[in-house]
Amino acid sequence: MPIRNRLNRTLPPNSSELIRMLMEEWTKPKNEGQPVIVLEGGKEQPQHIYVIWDQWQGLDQTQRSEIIMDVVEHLSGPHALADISLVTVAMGLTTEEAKRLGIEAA
Amino acid sequence: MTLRDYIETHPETMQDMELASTDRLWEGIELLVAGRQSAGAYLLGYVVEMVLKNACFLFDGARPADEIRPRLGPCRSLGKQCFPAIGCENYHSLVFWYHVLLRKRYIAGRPLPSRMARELGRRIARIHSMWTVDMRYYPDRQIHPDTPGHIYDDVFWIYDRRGQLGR
Repeated sequence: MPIRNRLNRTLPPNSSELIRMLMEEWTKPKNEGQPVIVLEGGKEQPQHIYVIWDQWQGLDQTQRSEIIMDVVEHLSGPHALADISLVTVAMGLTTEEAKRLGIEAA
Repeated sequence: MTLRDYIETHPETMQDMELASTDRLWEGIELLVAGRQSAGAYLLGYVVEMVLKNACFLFDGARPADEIRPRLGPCRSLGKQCFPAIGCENYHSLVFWYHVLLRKRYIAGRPLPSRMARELGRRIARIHSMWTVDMRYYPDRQIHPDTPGHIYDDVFWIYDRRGQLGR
């Protein structure tokens, strides 16, 4: 194996890029793969949003929550949530973390 | 396991925050009584922050084992939508949390009794003027002589009503 004299540091994900990718998935969802967006509750009830996505790695839970809400705030037309003020949880989880918490999309 | 390792691997929960608010309350009082006014006031401000956050999340239906941080983003959005002029100060602003609580209760059709809301607002405004997380970088002499007495009085008033705020 070659010996190298330099390490490439992995950069944490860029939040504006994550917002763009999540917005794209929200408005034009793919049939498979990540991110997986789970909306629980709503219709005049408190709404919980879970986003299972391995791209969260390296971001803390507050940053993930803010990124999800940044996307939610900018959704429009048929994708917009009926009432943003009813969202009480916006949680980003990697696959591993979701498994640990026993959360998966139904 | 070191404290840092523990904190980094155990996201704080509602129950942690409630217990921490009681710990910080008594530690803050002990410091005030010992004449360490700046440090005492600093800890007591956090008590109010935790009581208000706890009330907001409890009102939303959070349970003791629920994590706190996934609830922060939605509160920031609520603030941007309903009272954009009030910054959350990285989620430490007491005025911000006071308004989040009032707004959540208003939206749900269960506002705080008006007298209580007024008195809470008055006390929050006073603590807000005497406390900021940034005070840790300033020497004790920046503390106004009235601060310890006022903060003691206001923090206890709020802490004693913590159960009512989130119900």
